[in-house]
Amino acid sequence: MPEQSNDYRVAVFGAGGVGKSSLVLRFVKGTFRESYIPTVEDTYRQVISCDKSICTLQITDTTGSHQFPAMQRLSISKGHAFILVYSITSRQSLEELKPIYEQICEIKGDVESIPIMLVGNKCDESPSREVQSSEAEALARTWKCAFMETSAKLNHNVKELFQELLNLEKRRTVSLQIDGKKSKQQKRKEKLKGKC
Amino acid sequence: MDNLSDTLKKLKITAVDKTEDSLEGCLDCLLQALAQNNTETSEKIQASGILQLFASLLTPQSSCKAKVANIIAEVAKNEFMRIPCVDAGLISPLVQLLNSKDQEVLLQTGRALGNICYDSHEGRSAVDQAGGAQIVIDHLRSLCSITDPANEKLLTVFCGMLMNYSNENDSLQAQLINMGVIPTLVKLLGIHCQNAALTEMCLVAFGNLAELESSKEQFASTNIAEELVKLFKKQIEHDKREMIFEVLAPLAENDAIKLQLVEAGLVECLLEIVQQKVDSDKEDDITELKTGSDLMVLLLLGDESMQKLFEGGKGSVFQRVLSWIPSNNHQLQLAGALAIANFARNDANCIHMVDNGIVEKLMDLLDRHVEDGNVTVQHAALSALRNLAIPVINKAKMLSAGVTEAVLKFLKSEMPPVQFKLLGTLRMLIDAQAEAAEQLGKNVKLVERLVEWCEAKDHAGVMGESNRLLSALIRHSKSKDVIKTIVQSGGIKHLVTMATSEHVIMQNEALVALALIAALELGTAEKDLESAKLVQILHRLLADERSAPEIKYNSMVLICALMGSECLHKEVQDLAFLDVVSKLRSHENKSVAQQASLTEQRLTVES
Repeated sequence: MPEQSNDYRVAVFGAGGVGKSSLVLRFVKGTFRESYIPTVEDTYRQVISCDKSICTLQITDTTGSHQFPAMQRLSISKGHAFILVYSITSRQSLEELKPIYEQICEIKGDVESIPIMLVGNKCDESPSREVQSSEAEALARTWKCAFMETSAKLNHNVKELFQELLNLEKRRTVSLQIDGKKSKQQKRKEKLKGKC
Repeated sequence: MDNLSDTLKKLKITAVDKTEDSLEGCLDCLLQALAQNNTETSEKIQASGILQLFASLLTPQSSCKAKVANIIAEVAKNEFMRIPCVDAGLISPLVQLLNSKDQEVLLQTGRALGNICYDSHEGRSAVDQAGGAQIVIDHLRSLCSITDPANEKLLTVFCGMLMNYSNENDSLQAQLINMGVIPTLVKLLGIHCQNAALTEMCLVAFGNLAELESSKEQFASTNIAEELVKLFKKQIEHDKREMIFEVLAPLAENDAIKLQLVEAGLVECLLEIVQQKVDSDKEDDITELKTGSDLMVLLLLGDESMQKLFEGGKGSVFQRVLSWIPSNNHQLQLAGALAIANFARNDANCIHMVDNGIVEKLMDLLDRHVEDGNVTVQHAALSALRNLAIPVINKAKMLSAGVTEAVLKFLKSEMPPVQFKLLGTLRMLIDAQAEAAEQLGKNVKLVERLVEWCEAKDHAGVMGESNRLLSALIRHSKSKDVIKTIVQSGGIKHLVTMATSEHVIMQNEALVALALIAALELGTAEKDLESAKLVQILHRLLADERSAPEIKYNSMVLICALMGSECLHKEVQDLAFLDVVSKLRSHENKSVAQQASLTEQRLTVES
């Protein structure tokens, strides 16, 4: 049972074997453990303001879900934010995300206001890299979404991925622990312009 | 501007010839034109193709390298010039110039690189490839204790460059952290606290790095907490304070830093802010009040920092926070209630607070938020009551203070966080309190709402808590009337479903409640138990190897109890219970094995 039930649904898409589950598992078992692992222990709890939502994660396999197009549509229409995972060692896994992205556009309409993150996982396996980060970045630019490379294995960028995703949320305050990060970044940017 | 075209033409020729005097003149002209109209001049510079020639003017031997770097710094203020600067191959020679001993060259080079990196991925990765960051960090380290104005200006530019270089780029932030930039920046902040520009730049750089989880450990090993608090105390301007807050908030997520901040006296500053701003309606003051009181709550999330501030309930901080609850300011009420909720994280604190009248204060606060109330305040106050209701000794006291009645006023709330904490508070209160459990369990309005919430599939927390409270009402009251109320409200099917929960604790709570139902009111409940397919579920639980021993044990107890009902007995007979039960006789858990023997006998006798 989540501590607070202000639902914020993050849908994770990716081909089989790109490491979706390990990413999510890494995240859930990581530093945010207290707030994320559903718990039924009747112990004292830390309390934070309820306008700081806790999110739930829903993982959908793009390979598997071809058989269940309705399921995929449902996760998209119910999702508040999206993580599109490919493996940097498989170009095919990046290709498989394209129809998903198109479907998100189709169902959600204006995707610019929706947090979407393109994620190249397994960046620890650089020697067998098939997708250059510059390529994925370019794709992310045409998709108007954010991009990040992660390694679930080394726990690299995992927490940052989720934090960044929530920072992209423009319509409401969603935060893992404390709010205001996005506006903070913007403010900082304004401050810096021309400083050098 | 006509002059500019001429200058650019002339520059093209002289840059190749490298006739020093006229070159200097041309560059001065360009700088002047840039000062007059940066954008337009930059456009012309790009169109002229002169950018490509700059690389050759940036060699260590070039006498005009500082001026060229200055021009690059100016043009790179325009977004459209940053990629062209990278494409013109300027990054590598600029980074080479960072090895110069000349202060002006370093300053202009730092500016140029900083501006090219501003918001530009291409700029950042080019500087990264050329190895620019390490050289800058080395400079910062060796120059950090020199306080003359020119040096401070250089330090400011270098900090800014690192900031632009790593902003919004986690891997570059991690790179800077690995290069050990944090202790150096903290040192800068301490030494140059009189220099506003440098201090500000340090803060911006901190804010940038502090967001990375891996930085916090490094920050924790410096005296950043002390420096920031010292700096904070000196600031009166709102903007500056906000800047420090922006660094403090992410840092304070780390428990070790929380404690350091408390020890450095941050809380006293925060309390003072609240005191000053509470009655103001100016926007800046309202923001500062919110940031300050939010930060106060954040500090209380750490166990050590919380306990230190509690000081046995006699601490001035605790007392002051207490005074926020009856205030008329919603933000303060919220922060006060959240603070109490977080102080209420161990038995000793909870008992002390309840003995000293916290319950009445929280109930008064809740009472002010019943109609059109503030949801965050409701949630915070209920969260505090939930935690306070955990120690056994507090339950009776809170019950006789009328907490259940106060809490039930929020039964009509449509806000899941409020519902969730309301349920949690009630469940904690009735734990082992038979009388209260009976009273609540006969409250038709409550039970009907619980049944409704048991189906709130969108809100796993509310759903789980409702199920658990339903079970708790039966288990703690052991009352026939309570069971009848729950049957009438349609709650039985939820208890049956709960027996298949993913959580063993919840499964068990369901089975125990169902066993009590079977023992006390089987006749009333049998139809519902039948249509909820309880017997099939029990069969599945017993057959499933993954079921926990206590689940197996209680399922068998329940099977025996259900035999008192004709229709359920028939269902038991129809399923192959004997097979699964006899297998369990050799279960490794002795209680399970023993109960299996008993159940087997019962099944055999009654078949």
